[in-house]
Amino acid sequence: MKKSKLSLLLILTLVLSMFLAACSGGNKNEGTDKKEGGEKAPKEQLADEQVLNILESSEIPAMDSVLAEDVIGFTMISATTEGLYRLDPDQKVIPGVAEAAPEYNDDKTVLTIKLKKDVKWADGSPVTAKDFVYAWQRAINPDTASPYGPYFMEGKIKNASEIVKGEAKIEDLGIVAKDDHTLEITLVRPIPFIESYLTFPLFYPQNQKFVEAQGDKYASSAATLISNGPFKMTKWDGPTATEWVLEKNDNYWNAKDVTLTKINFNVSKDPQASANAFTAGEADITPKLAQAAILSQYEGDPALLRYQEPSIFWIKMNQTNPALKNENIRRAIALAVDKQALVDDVLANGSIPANFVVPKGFTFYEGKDFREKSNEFLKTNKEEAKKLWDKGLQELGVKEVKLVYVGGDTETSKLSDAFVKDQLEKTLPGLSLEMNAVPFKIRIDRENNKDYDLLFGGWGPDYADPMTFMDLWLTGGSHNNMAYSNPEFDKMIQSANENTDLAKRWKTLQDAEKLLLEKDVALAPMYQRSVNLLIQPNVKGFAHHAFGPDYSYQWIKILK
Amino acid sequence: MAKYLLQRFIYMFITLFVVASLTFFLMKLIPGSPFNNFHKLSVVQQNILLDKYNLNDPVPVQYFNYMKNLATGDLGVSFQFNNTPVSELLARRIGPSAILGVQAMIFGSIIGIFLGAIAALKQNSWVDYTSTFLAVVGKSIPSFIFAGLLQYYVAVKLGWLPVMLWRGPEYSVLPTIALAMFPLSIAARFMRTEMIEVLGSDYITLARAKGASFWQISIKHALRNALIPVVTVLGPLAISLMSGSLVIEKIFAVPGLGEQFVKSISTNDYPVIMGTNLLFALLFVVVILVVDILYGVIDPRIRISGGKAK
Repeated sequence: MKKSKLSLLLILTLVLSMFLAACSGGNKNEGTDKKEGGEKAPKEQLADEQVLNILESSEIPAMDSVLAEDVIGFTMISATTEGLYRLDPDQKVIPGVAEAAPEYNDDKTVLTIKLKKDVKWADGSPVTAKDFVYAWQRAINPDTASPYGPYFMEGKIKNASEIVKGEAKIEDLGIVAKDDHTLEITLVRPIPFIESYLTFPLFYPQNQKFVEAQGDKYASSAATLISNGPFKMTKWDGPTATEWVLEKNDNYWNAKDVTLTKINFNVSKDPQASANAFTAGEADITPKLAQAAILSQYEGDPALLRYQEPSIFWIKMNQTNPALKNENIRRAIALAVDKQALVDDVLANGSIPANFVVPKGFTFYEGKDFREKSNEFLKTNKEEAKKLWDKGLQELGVKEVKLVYVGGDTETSKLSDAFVKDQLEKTLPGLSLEMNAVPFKIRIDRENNKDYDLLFGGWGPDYADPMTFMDLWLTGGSHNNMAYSNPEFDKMIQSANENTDLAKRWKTLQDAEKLLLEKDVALAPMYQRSVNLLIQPNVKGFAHHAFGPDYSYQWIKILK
Repeated sequence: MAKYLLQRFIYMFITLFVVASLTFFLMKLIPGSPFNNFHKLSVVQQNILLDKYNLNDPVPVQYFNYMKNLATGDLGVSFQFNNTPVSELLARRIGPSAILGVQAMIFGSIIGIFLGAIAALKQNSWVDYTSTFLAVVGKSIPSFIFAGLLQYYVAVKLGWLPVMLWRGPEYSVLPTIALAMFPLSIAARFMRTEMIEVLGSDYITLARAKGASFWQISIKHALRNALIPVVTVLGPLAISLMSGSLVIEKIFAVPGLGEQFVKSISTNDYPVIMGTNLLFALLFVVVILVVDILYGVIDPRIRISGGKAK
C-alpha cells in the first residue's frame, strides 16, 4: 500500500459510505419482513429443533474453573458446571448443588451448607462436599498459580492470606467437609454478599479423581472435562479452538427445565461480519456490538437487545500533579464535559451519563437499587466549571495548564477521547491536553506507575456489592493510583466492611460515594456502558449477568 | 549446485539466529505482562506467577534458556491459550492461512499475469485500459472494504456463498477472492510493464523477422522473459499472504495465524510471538531460495554457479 495516503483515504471514505448506506437500507426491509412472520406464528409454541447457533468474540482461554480469568471462560464453565449457587435471570441467588441458603452462626462468619444428595457428575459419581474442598484448596495452592484464587479468597476466606504468604497449610483453608453432604465455610469477617459471591465459577466443585487422572491434560479439551451442570461440552479442541459444542446434560439434577438440546459456538471477531452472519440467518445470537455505525443499522429492530451493564468509565485525575491537587481545578474538569452529548452523539450505543461510581441496576437492598436513594454528583455544568477553573488558576498563580491525557487505542475510545479533549479545552481556557492513545496493557502500566495526569479508564464488578467499586479508592490502595487520600473515606469503607447491620452499611457506602465525588472530586465519572447484541426474536429466556459469567443458556426456549 | 546450496543454508541459519535474538530482546521491551488480570493481583501473587514461568529471571538468562530450548525444537507454551504448546498452536493455525494464501496466490497471479500480458500485447486498446483500471482498483481499495462488500453482496444479499466460518471449500471462496486482489493487481502491473519492454527488445524483432507467429512470440519468447521481475515480487508476497491476513481472517472468521499473531503481541504472549516470528522468518528464507532457483528455470541466461548449461 504505497499509494499516496490522500487518494487512499478518499477512496476509502467513498466506498465505506456506499457500503454503509447500502447496509442500512437492506436491513430495514428485512427487519419488517421478520416481524410479519413472527405475528403469524402462534405464541409460546416450541420449535421442533431446539438447537442454537451462537457467535462469540473470542476463543475459550481456559475451562479449568480455578484457572479461568476471563468472561468467556466463566460463561462456558457455568454452563457446564453447577456450583453451590447460581444467579437466575433476575440476578437472584438460587440453590445449585446446595439444598438451600446457608445457615449462619451468630456473628455470621461460619456458614453451614447442606448439599443435594442427587447431584451427579457426568460419569455417574455423586457431587460431594469433598469436591468443593478439593477445588478451593487447589485454587489457593501457590503451585496452581491461579490468578483469581488468591484474589477472591484473600481477606475473605479464613487462612487464605496466610496460605499465600506460606504461613499456613493448604488444609487450613476455611472450608471443611463435615460429611459427604455438609460443607462448613469459615470467613475472616462477615460478608453480606457472600451468597452471590459463591456463584462465582472459582468456587465451583472439581472431581478430584477425574482431575488427578487427567493430570496436565485436565480441562484442555472436551474429552478431558467432566460436567455436572446443565450442559456438557461435546466438542472443543482446546484453547485455540474457534468452534465448540454444548449439548444438554441428561444427568443434570434439573434437566427437566433445560429445553435446548444443542448449542453450536463459533468465534467471529469482526462485529460487522457477525451482524452480517446474523442477518443471513447463520447465527442466532451475536457477540456484543459496540460500534455506533453497526448499531444504527438495527435501530428499532426487534432483534436488537440492549441493556445497561455495570461498567463505569471515568477520568482519573492524578493528584501528584500540582494543578490536579487543586480541588477547584479537579471540579472544573469534572463538570466541563457534556456527558449527555458524549453518550448520545459519540458513543450512540445506549450508554447513559454517569454522575456516580456505583452503577445503576447493579446492587439492590430489599429490592431497592443502590442508586435509587443516592444522589447524582458532578453533573455537567459548564458555567460553574469555567468559574471554578478561573478560581483554581488564580490559586495556582498560573494562566495555563498543560496535562497529559492517557486514553485507549480502540476506535471507540479514540472518538470519545477526542470529544472529551475538545470539550475540556473549549470550556476551560488555558487548558491544553497532550493526548496519548495507548493499548490496554500499556494504559494499565502507566496507571500503576502514576505516569499520567488525566486517564480515561473504567471498572467492572467482581462481585455483586457496591464495595467492588468503592474500596478502589482507599489510601494507598492498589487501584487508587492517583494519590487520592482521605482518612475519613478510609474510615467509612472500613466501617462498611465491619458492619453487619446491612441497612447502616448501605447508608455508609452511599455517604462514602458522596464524599468521594461531591466533596473530594477524586475522579470524574463519564458514562455507564450499554451492551448491545442481536438475538433472533423467537429465542426466549436468554439471561445475562452482571459479573462472573456473562450469560446463562439453560432457560432458553426457541419458539416457532 | 551442492556447494551453493550449502552456502545458502548457512546464511539461512545465521539469518534465523539473528531474527530470533532481535525479536527476543525487542519483545522484552513491550511494557505489560502476559497475564490477563495481573493488575488486580497483589505483589506476592504476581511473583508466584512470574516465578512459575521463569519471568523473574534476568532477561539474558531468559534469552539463554529460550535459545537452549529452541535448539531442541521446544518453542514453549502459550500464556493466552492456557499452556497450549506453541508448536501445536502454530500447526493448527497455519493450515487455513496457508490454504487461503496459496489459493489467493495462484488465483491472483494467474489472472494478474494474464491481464498484464493481454494489456501489453494490445497496448492502448480498451483491453489495456480495462485491465489497468482493474489493477488500480485492486491495489487501491483496502482489502477490508473489498472483503466487506463481497461478504455483504455475495453472501448476505445474494446468498450464493456462506457469510463466514471455515467448514469446507465453499467457505474459502470469498476470502480467497478478497485476498487475491492485491497479488492480482501487482502481477498485472508488473507484467504489463515488463512485457512491453520485452516486446520492444531486439530478439523479439529478430523472432518476428524469422517469421515466428504472434502466439509463438508472445508465449515462448516474451512471456517467459517478462516473468522474471514478476517472480521476484510475488515470492515475498506469497509469504505475507500465507502468514495470514489479519483483516481477511477476522472478517470471514477464518481460524488462521493472522489475528492470532497480532493478539499475541498485544497480550505479551512471548512464546507465541517468538514462535510465529521464527516461522515467518523460516518461510521467508526458504521462499527466497526457491525464487533464486526458479530464476534459472525461467530464464536460461541466469545460472547458479556450478550449474551445467543444457
